[in-house]
Amino acid sequence: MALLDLDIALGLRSYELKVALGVDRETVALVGPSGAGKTTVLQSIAGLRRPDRGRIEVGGRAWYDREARVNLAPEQRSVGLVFQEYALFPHMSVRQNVAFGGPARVDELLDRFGIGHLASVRPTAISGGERQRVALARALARGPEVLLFDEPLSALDAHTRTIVRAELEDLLADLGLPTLIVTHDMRDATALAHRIGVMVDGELRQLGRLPDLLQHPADAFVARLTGANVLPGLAGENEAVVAHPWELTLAAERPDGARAVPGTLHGVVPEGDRMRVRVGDVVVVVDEGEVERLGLARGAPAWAVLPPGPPRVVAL
Amino acid sequence: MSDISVGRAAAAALSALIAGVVLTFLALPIIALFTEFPLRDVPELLRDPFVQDTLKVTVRTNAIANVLIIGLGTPTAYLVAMRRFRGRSLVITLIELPLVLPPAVAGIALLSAFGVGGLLGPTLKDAGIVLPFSQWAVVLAVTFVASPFYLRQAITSFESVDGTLTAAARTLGAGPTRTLLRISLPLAASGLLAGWVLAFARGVGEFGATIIFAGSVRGETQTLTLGIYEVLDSNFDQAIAIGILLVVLSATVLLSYKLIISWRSSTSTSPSVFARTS
Repeated sequence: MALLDLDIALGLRSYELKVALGVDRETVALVGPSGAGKTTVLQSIAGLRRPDRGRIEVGGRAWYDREARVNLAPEQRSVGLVFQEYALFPHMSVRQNVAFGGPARVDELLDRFGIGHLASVRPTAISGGERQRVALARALARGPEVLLFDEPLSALDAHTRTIVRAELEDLLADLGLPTLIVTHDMRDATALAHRIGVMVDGELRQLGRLPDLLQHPADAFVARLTGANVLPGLAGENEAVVAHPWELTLAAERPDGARAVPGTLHGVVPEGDRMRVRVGDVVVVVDEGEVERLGLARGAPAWAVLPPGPPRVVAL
Repeated sequence: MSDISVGRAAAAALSALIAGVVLTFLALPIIALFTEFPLRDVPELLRDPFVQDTLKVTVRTNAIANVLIIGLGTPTAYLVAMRRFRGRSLVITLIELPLVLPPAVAGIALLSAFGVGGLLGPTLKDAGIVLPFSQWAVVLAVTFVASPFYLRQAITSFESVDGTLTAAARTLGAGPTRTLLRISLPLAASGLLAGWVLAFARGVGEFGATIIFAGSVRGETQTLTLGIYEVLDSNFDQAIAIGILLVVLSATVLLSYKLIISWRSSTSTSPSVFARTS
């Protein structure tokens, strides 16, 4: 059994949330559109919301068990929850905020997160990245057994986001706690998590490592979320071929014997040292200069060519 | 000058005139209170044993009433603000009702509930308690008419405390009581204070319910406002002196209320304060 083990069901407005998940000393990200029930999972673990049925166990101890009528209050659950907008107490200084979680290790935590110089400042007067660190220090002050993050990077601007993402990556590796991150951003998930769970309409569609999600997407939704092209009409009825942009090649003429999709070429933009183009709705990543080499230009008819071999097919 | 600008000037003059009349009407009685009567005699008149008695009754009864309003009103407001239950809007309407109830009706209502022949009269009599025309009747009357001012404001203040902050406190190991004391109360404090200032002002000015339910017994139930009524015919100067005392008190209360409100908006805890800044 995993350190954090949950199997819960909870009726939401338009669907039932059903999630079974085990998290060991690793980071798992729940990714999905807003309204998929991701935050509800975190709230259930933290005890802020009661599932209709199921159980939640941490380190072999039941935090919630419908059968056994166990439902610990939030304060009895050893959990560090970092809220989306951090939920720092505006009437307390940074030090008081951190000490609220546990007074014993305040100085150590302020030091560790490089916020010692802000100790006497109110959280309203500091930057978003600094608030993030205060929220983290406060969550850790309790010495939690489980760490939960609700959209940890969404409140930050692009520049700060990159920095904080890297900090968070290092921190989570250091802590080695069972960590659950909720995000709608696949990039945050891939940067921070060992395993990624894709949630749609309260349902965990697929849970696995990034290569699994890329190579064997469970359905069209998972495939699209990883940035893959989902191409109907190339396989059987109610099926689609999934191809990642870097697996496709570009051609000016219809190639013989290969599966290909025609479309107008547009959206030629650099991506790293390669170029990202679109053929109709299909995204293809090609080497720089490839477009010119093929004698193509923006607006010209072109073909997105699938690699040889059996295609990756998902149900629609 | 064109017709249009003449029209505009006339409209501006007319509205200025109306505003002037309104302001004069509102200010004149207050000015008259201070000018119709030699101000230097006020301290002397306030030292009069009669005024001293009414002042003592007012201070005593209002102190008790305000302790009751805050002591019992705060937990009640917290409960109503935090819980969603069936009939909640009915409860809130009930709380607000005394605000719009004519004070005389409040007095009659209190009499029918706690009077000797009233709803609880026999029960209270058996317990040896006779409320009407006692100091406690004043306390009850003041509490009845003034508490809605505090309750209403307190409910709104507790409701406006960001729920994620209290949730955060819980996940950080604080139980409901510690969350209330360390998070909800401090964040709602300025709102509670503003509500209390209003309740206090209403309580000190209470007249109608008190005279009906508690009567006007010197040294027992006769408050400052009842005192004014008592000496109105016999000693008009003294009535004015009490009036000046109450005006000064009311103005102080109003001023502190405004200060609290402006201080509140400057230390607001709205989420916008937490908007991204970096």
